[in-house]
This record gives sequence, C-alpha cells and structure tokens, in this order.
Amino acid sequence: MIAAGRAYLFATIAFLYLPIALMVVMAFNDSALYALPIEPSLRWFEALADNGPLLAATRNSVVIASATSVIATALGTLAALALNRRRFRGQTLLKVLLLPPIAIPWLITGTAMLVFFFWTGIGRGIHAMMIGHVALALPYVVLIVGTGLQTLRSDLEEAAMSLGSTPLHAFFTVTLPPLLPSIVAAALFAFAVSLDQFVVSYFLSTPGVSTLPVEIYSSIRKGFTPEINAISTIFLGVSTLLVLIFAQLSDLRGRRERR
Amino acid sequence: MSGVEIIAVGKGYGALRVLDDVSASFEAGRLTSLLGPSGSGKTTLLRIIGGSIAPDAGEIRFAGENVTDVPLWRRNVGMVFQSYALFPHMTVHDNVIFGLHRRGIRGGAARKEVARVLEMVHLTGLEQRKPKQLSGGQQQRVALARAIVTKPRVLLLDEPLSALDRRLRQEMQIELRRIQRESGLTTIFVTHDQEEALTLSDTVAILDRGRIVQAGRPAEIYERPQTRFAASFLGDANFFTGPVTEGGIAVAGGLIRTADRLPAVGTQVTVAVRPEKVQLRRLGSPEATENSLAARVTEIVYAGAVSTFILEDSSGAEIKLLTQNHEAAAAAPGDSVTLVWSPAHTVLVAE
Repeated sequence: MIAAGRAYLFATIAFLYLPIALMVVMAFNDSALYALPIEPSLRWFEALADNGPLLAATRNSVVIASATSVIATALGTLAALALNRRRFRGQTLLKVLLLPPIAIPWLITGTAMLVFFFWTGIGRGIHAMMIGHVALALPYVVLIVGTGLQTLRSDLEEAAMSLGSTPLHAFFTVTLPPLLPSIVAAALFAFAVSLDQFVVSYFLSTPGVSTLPVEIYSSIRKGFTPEINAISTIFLGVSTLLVLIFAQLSDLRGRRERR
Repeated sequence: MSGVEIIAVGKGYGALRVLDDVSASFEAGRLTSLLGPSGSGKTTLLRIIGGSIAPDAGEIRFAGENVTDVPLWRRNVGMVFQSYALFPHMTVHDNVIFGLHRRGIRGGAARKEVARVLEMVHLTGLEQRKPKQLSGGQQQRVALARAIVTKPRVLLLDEPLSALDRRLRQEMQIELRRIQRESGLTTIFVTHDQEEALTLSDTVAILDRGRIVQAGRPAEIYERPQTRFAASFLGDANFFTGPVTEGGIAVAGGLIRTADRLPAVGTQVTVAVRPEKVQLRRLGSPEATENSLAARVTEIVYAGAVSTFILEDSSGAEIKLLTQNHEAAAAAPGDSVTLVWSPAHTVLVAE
C-alpha cells in the first residue's frame, strides 16, 4: 500500500517536472535537433547574447516586474492596513471586491484593460503593462500582508503608545518589523506575478516593445530554436528562486507562529 | 489623597450608551477593581482613563490635574492588556526598556531600572528570551514589568489574569498584590471575576450598564450590597420580596425581619440574604430573634469542604444555603426543614 502510494507520488512529480527537465537538458545540448546522446554545450546561452529582441524583452520584463513589485507592495500594504485596522463604511464590500480579480480569467481582464486603456488614451506599451500588472498583483499583496496583520495583535500599537510612542513611532517600531516578512513575501509574489504574466502583457505590448514571455511566444511562432530552451531555463531558475524565498519566508512565519 | 478622579464621564457609540455620567475617585497608591459583566463598560472606562479612547463628556484628573486632552503617549500611564501585547520581535529586555527609551532614559540608568523591575517580577535571567519562548505566566510578568518600569502615574490592568489557568491565576493574584504594594502605584484593575476582585482590591467598584452602582471596600460591598444587581453579581444571594408590614416584610412563608430601616408600611421591598448566613434546623424551634422559614430540601450539591443545599419554600421559590461539612449531612433531599438566619444578615436592596 505504502509502495503504491510512493509510486503514485513519484508519477505525479514526474508528470510535473519531466517536460521542464527535458527543456533544461536540451538547453545544454549542442544539437539543435534534440539529437542523442547529449553533447554538453553552452552555445545556446552564448547565442542568446546576440539575440537583441530577446535581450530587450528580458530587460523590459525585469523593469516592469520590479516597478510592479514596488508599486503594488506599497499600495497593497497601505490598503491591507486600512482594511484590517480601520473601521469605515463599505469596508466589507471592499474586502470582498478584492477577490474576483483573482478568479477572473486573464484573457478577460486583458481584453478589458486593452479596451479601457484605448478608450482612456493610456494606450499600449511599457507604462500600460506596468499599470496592468500592478492591478493584477494588488489583490495578492493585500491578501498576503492582510494575513500577516491578522497574526499581529492590534493592541501592540496601543501598548507602545502607552509607553510614550507617538502613533507614527509606534507603527514603525512595533507593527512594521514583525510584518516585514509578509511584506517581502508579497513583494516577491508581485514580482513573480508580473514576470510570469503573458496574456495581459501580450494584449498591452506594442510590436517593438514586449516582455520575455511575449517575445518567447512570438519566437516560437516564427520557428523554434534551442535558444528558447536556454532563456526559458534562466527564466525558470529565477522564478524558482523567488518561489523558494517566498516559501522560506512564509514557513519562517508559520514556524514562529507555532512556537 | 485622590490619585485618579473621573468626573461625569460619558461615552457612546451611535445610539449605544457605553458609559453614562460616571464619576469615581481612585485613591492614590491603592488598588481598585472595576467589576462588572461583559458589556458593562468597564474596559471602556479603563481605556478612557488611559487615554486610548476620548470620552464624549466629562473629565479625567490625575492628582488634581486635568488630563482629559493629554494624548495616550504623553499621559504617562502603565497598561497591561488581556493579551499582554508584548512586542513579539523584541526580547524581554527590549520590551521592558522600551518605555524608558521613549522617555529619554538610556544606558546604565535604564539597564539598572530594567534589572530592578525584572527582579521584582522574578524574571531575572530571562532578559534575552523572546515572548514566544516564555510561558503564559512569564509573559504576564513581562507585561507587568514593562508597565511599571516607567513609574507611571497610574497602572491600568485590563483582565490581565483571565488567560491563565486557575492555579496560576491565584498565584499571580498574590504576586500582583505584592508588586502593587511594593511599587505603591495607583492601580485600576478591570475584571469580571468577583472572587478576583474581592481578593485583590482595596476598593471594588461595581459597574452595570455604564454606571457605577456601588463602590467600597470588598467586605462592605459583600456584606451590605445596595442593589439586587450588586448582591447577585458579587457572590450569591437569596432574595425575598414582599410588602412592608408592622415589624417586618410579609412573604409567602411568614414574616421576615431586618435590622435595616424599612420604608412605610405597604411599600414593596426586596431583601437579600447570603447563602452562608442561612442555617438549617431540623428539630427545635428557632429563637424569637431569628428569622425562620419552612422549606423542603430538593437537592444537595457536595463540593468537599462545603455543600450547597437547594431548597424550596412553601411558595415554591428556590432558596440556597451554603454550609461547611463539619459532620454527616444534616438533611436529605425531600426532608422538611426550618431555615433560620439573623435579621442583621437580611439586607434591604434596591431593585
């Protein structure tokens, strides 16, 4: 029974990772035609250095993701504080309204944004993608920071104030430090949401200006080269690293909670 | 000398009146309990004194000085919260020194003060622990040390012991009393636990629906409750209601006399009698000076040192009697008995 379970688990993991593993292996294979046996080579990574459009798209992706992360985290943290620590009219409605954007298919969100940006004159391009990505990442930030806030008692600030802290000093000394892991986790998540985003970016990019996922997609349509494997491998590495850091931060928080 | 005075304080949220024209005086250096059921406004009153909540009306004075408009962070109060509210990312030492730093006390002087209060609460040696590494009782002591290290003008405690288990709570009550005496701080203690209020306090103030209904020394309040609420909230009580007649109060089973002054004949009044003041007699007639009432035992609740007898008088009303278990049970369920008690223990209360 246990053996069967273990086999099932391995099958699941294999199902998840086999295609990815193949891609990574082929990125390091000299042959463009997936010939075996594998001849180790870095030629596809070297070829990347000469691929102007792909490099430009990578730069765009990183710029947009960084900006998205900073803006969404700042706005989202403030929103989470307001939603969890203040009382105001329409609060519950606002809280509930945060959730649908997570469930609405990106294709629909993307279409809606395209139409709206066109109609308002915002248009397309890097700025449009940034606005779009911030909108996509915002609910996640509010949820992640909000969860962190809930584990933090609201009378901490009152205690600090009774000891002589002004409200601002109380916030920065007793609320912000314990909340920092949540905020960093939210920032990483926002970065990852932006970096991995394809549909919205595809709709909002202009022919000259695109992001890495969009550029990979159009390269594949033109004809597949193993360079795609190489850039995808790098992309994969960065994403995995972010997720691992995120997991580490959440886990740290969880463990501290349990003690 | 008056440590803290509140004068005609009122507070409401929308249509809800939480506090209504509350005035009270808290003696300097003494421990006063604010005792009341949940929703009685006791925590709101405490937070108004502390400065976390602004009152709609009235005035707060510390040693005669009006502090109503002084914000929380300049009011110089020590607060201990039900949840302790320790800063989770700071060590015990950093938690306790926080208030001193905010007052500009640093370096050796601050460290000396921290060491002094940590010794007072018996936490020496745990300075570098984080709150999560401490037991509930230890966290409680840290919260107390943090609140008293700054020598506040008033120490406010909001049900600080309610999260502890019974045994630890009793231990901490004694500790708290000792620390309060040693520090000499004017202390206001909010609780819904009547036993805690009686054990700990120099003075108890009973709150009911936003008003202080009675305040006084614990024994005074217990022995001479002024209202039905005070009598039933602080301890247990039997109530008898009837019209005043010549020499007493007419009730179903006869005449009840009281040492208290009665209003005019014909007025409906209520008297309270504590269950432990009532004695059970099977044989012999009661003395003429005692109150007596025929009753039937319906149930006996045995609790080791004491037993509670539940009885029924001739009208079917329930009467409770608390007795020490000196010897074998004096009666069994179903027995008809005579209850006797002194008119001095028959206290006239307002409804």
